[in-house]
Amino acid sequence: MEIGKPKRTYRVEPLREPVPSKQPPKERPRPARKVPTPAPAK
Amino acid sequence: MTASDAVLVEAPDFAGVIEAWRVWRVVAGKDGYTLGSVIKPTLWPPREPLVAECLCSSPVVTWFRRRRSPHEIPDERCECGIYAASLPTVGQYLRDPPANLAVARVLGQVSLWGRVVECERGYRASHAYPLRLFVPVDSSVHRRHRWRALVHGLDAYGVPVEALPARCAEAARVLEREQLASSRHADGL
Repeated sequence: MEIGKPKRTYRVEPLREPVPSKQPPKERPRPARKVPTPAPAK
Repeated sequence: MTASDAVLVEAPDFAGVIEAWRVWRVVAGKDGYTLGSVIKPTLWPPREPLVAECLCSSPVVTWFRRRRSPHEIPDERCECGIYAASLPTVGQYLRDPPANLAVARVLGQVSLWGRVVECERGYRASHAYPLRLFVPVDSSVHRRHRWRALVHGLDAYGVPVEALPARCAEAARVLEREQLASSRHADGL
């Protein structure tokens, strides 16, 4: 690829990982839905 | 502390990655599609950074040069490194039909980091990974490797892959127009 003459050299450090992880993120199990228990009949 | 440790703790000049454009050839294998460099035989492994090697000369010459004057990769005095450039510069590499066992050609944005040499019209870097891929409508001439199959197959890289409703010859221009429109929209023009 023709990109011309060099101008300057940088040291570049990524702020976050630029490569996706090998394992796709696992879906976290949903917390069980709380069903309100009816008050005991008096 | 050794000399190599001293290099590692040196503060970076730029935090983040440099984003530029590239064209890749697409190679079909038993594990699916793999991206490859258009000019060199290098293949880009999915979900692994590509780390540059100096491929500028024959192994014998490289061995002799390294003995005399080892250089960092990329080096301003050499031509090594992973290349990327602006859209108009890379667009011309989509016009030629796929070669070197390739079944298609695609273009996209690439993240560059590590040691990066800025040149007049692009960059050469020590580390790179695709950021976003675009598959033009006529990117493959093979019946088995249709548009949709390529978009689905390149999913292995874990980055956004978009079907681009434009031919290879005009893909760079279409993306350039889209970029201009989105930057105007962001500026509120």
